Amino acid sequence: MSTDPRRRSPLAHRQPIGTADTLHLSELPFWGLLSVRGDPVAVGLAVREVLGIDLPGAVKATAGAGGVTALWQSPDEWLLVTEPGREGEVQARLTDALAGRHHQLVDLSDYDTIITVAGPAARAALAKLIALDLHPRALAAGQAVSTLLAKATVRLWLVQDGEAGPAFRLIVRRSHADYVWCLLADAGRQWGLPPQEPIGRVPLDIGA
Amino acid sequence: MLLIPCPYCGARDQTEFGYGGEAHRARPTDSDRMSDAQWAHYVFMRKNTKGVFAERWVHAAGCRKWFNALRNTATDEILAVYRMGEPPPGGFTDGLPTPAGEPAIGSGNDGSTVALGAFDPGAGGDRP
Repeated sequence: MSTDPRRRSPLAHRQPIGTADTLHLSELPFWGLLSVRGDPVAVGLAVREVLGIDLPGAVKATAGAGGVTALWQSPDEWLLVTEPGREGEVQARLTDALAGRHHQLVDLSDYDTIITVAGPAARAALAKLIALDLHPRALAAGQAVSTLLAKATVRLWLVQDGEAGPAFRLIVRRSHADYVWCLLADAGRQWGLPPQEPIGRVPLDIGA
Repeated sequence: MLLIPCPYCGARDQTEFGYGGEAHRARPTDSDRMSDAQWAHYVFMRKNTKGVFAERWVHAAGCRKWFNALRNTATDEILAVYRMGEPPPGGFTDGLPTPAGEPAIGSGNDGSTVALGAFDPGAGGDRP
């Protein structure tokens, strides 16, 4: 992570839009994101020792403890999501625990950002842009999945689901963030989200 | 649009995948002794099977893993998926009937053999 005071989040030029009783968009800037890869057993032992998390072993699964959540990415890859500012400490402890074991541990915090999509209409709005089945029986609270939103790759994480509607977090690449933001705002027009003009005023083209 | 069953993630939309062409093509171990024609044959020539075809896919927007699939190129039916390094599952090798019942040869099937005639890449030399 960068400690430069001039650090600027990818969506710093956007303000939260919408209301929580229908649909709400906001950015969660500067969260820690660590990619860890390696043998599930060797890496799993180190992660359990350091973070107290049993690494999830199947698609869509997540596991969390102590403010850190591990998202399954592939059979040998996980994404650790931490609160802002904690990724350096977690990375240092994991590096020590993984010493001598074949692994890869990379800080992606500056590469991605998180967009939250919450409210009773969140599922319907996302379904306009994502081909995946978002029904609660296919994606339940606490599950996460990598997929395409329009043309951007996103990690879709359903943090909670309840009476107030689902709360999704979309982990998106820095350069895709404004594209995804504008498309989500456009998808939410019917629930009262204001139109968002893309940076550079280039019209969005989501293709066929 | 295909619904492709990734062996790690389950059925996903085709837009999440990338295509990797024919599977099970082993790189020659004696490439330093091969003629240009033999090398070109390895690099460029692919089967153009009509029917059951073993091919590679990568789940680019998901787990980013490569895997193999058996697909009937005439019907686009994906018959089986299996992991890299595994042999193709049996039981599909005879080919399935195509919708219009065309003959196997003369309708795009086995294109490389047709294009090259009797050319044997093992014999060296230039294309006939």
